[in-house]
Amino acid sequence: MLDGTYEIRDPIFGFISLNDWEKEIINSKEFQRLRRIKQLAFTDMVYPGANHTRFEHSLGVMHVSTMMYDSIINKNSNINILRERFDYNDAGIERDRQLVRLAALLHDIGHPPFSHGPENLMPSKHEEYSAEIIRNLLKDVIENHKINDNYKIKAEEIAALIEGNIKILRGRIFWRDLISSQLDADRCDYLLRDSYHTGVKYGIYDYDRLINTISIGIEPEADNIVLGIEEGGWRVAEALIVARYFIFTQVYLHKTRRIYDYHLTKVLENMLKNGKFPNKNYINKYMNIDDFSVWNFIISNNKSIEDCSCILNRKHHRMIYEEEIVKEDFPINIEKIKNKLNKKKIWYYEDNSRELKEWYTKDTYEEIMIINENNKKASPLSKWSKVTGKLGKYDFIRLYVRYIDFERAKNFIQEVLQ
Amino acid sequence: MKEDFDKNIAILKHSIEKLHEINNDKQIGKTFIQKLFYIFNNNKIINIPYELYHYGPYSFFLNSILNISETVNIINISWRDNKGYFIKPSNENHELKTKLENFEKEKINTIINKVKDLNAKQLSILCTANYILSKFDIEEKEIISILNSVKKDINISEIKKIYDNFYSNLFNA
Repeated sequence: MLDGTYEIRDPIFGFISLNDWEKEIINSKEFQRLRRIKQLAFTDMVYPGANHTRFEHSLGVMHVSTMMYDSIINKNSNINILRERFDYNDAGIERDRQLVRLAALLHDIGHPPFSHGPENLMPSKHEEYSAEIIRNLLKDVIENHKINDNYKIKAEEIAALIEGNIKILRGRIFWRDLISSQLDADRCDYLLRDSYHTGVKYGIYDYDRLINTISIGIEPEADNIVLGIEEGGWRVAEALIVARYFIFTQVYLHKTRRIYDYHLTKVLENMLKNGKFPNKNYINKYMNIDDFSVWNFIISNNKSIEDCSCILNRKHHRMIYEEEIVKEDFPINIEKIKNKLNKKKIWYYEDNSRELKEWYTKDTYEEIMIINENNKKASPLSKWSKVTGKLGKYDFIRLYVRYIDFERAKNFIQEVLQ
Repeated sequence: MKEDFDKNIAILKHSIEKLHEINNDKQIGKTFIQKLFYIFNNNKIINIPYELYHYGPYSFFLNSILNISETVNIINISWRDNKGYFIKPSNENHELKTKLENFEKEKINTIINKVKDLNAKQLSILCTANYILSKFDIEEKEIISILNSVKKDINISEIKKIYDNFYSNLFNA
């Protein structure tokens, strides 16, 4: 271990190294708040091991993004492209490595409590909150550390990489793909980490092969530089897509996890002023809200707010019917069942995957590019894989009723379906 | 939302057919369509979210429209090595749920006629310019140097020529 570097034990990657500057950022109260933001909201109601937080995920993303960056720049053909396109010299490459590490470390610092669970109550994307925190609350610890005398990295540049500010980063905005794309360090970490903590094996892929074969190439239609996987590693790209599909269907969109997102949202609508998180201009107020403060509210309002009681007593609403949406048609049975529930005066909640926020929908259809190492031309994974092109978005409509109505509703639904 | 979805599919189908009617050999790929729809957005023909992806405006929503339209055979998407995607009208005659009014088709056709001689690379430059100018506080004179920083493969004078010749006509009209 070099003088002034530290190592943190991590269950996924063994050890994660960091320097003194990064350690100071991690020790800031803003970053420490991530210890109180669970990675998978109430997924532990289904998979009890899912109690990990955004804290260790953020360390993991920093680690993976560095492995990816180093793998890319260690290939001469990539260095040539980077020098041609971005006028890079060695110092620039070293500086941007540090910039990518910091952006990866801080990309989730603006997450609301319980991560994606209550995202509908955010006035703007969590990335915008992350950028605001970096620009204002972390500016000093970022810009005034002695290690930064070598780099002179501005908080504004880190925020720009997270937000996608091309005005500040210009061509170097390319590195944003390591933080946010089909092939980003964020996904590469959460698939492995969430699998590990939930105990499922769906998110597992050949991480070493992915790092080994990650590269850059040229997309032919507009001649843009793109991140991709070398031809020899296309199977790992395929595995990544399949892993994502399975973990979404089996974990993130699990029927019980989804209804807890609903209960959580209702709790927060009661807890927050005007039922929304503070605007990012009130960032200090926002930072005071974490999982602990929400739990405190849930416990205090157990008797007066139904959703608090549902969470505390695990008497969540129960799913009575689910139908997959195929192509663009809407299912028919759902309407029949809804009519029946209305007639019987049974309250229901409808969960439609098409109304989910972008963390699910965003990049479902975006292709991973496969790079020919000889001419650096990129082609889409679907040209190579017979599997991934068929894995569309998992779209569903589910109906839930209150715990006390479940048995009654279940009985007459059978009649409707017959 | 459902209506918007069907409407966008109808606009996509019409645009692909119109572009092929004008020039059947021209490459109409995903990038070209992304940028064309960005211009439609700008002209308030559609209203879909765009954000920065890679170097310019990109809509994940439109990408899902493209993929669903391909799945149900409203359009055909193929890939040619070293060239990229080619999107063609489908041979199947589809009766869409939403039909475009004539005035809507005219608006779309007017824009298509303005971009018909441009390729994806040129359209990307113009749309990225508009995205930057509308999103960030910068002066127009800075825009060429920013575009040059992200499109080093194109000569700066060529970027300026594309910008001077087409930008106003597409975005300030």
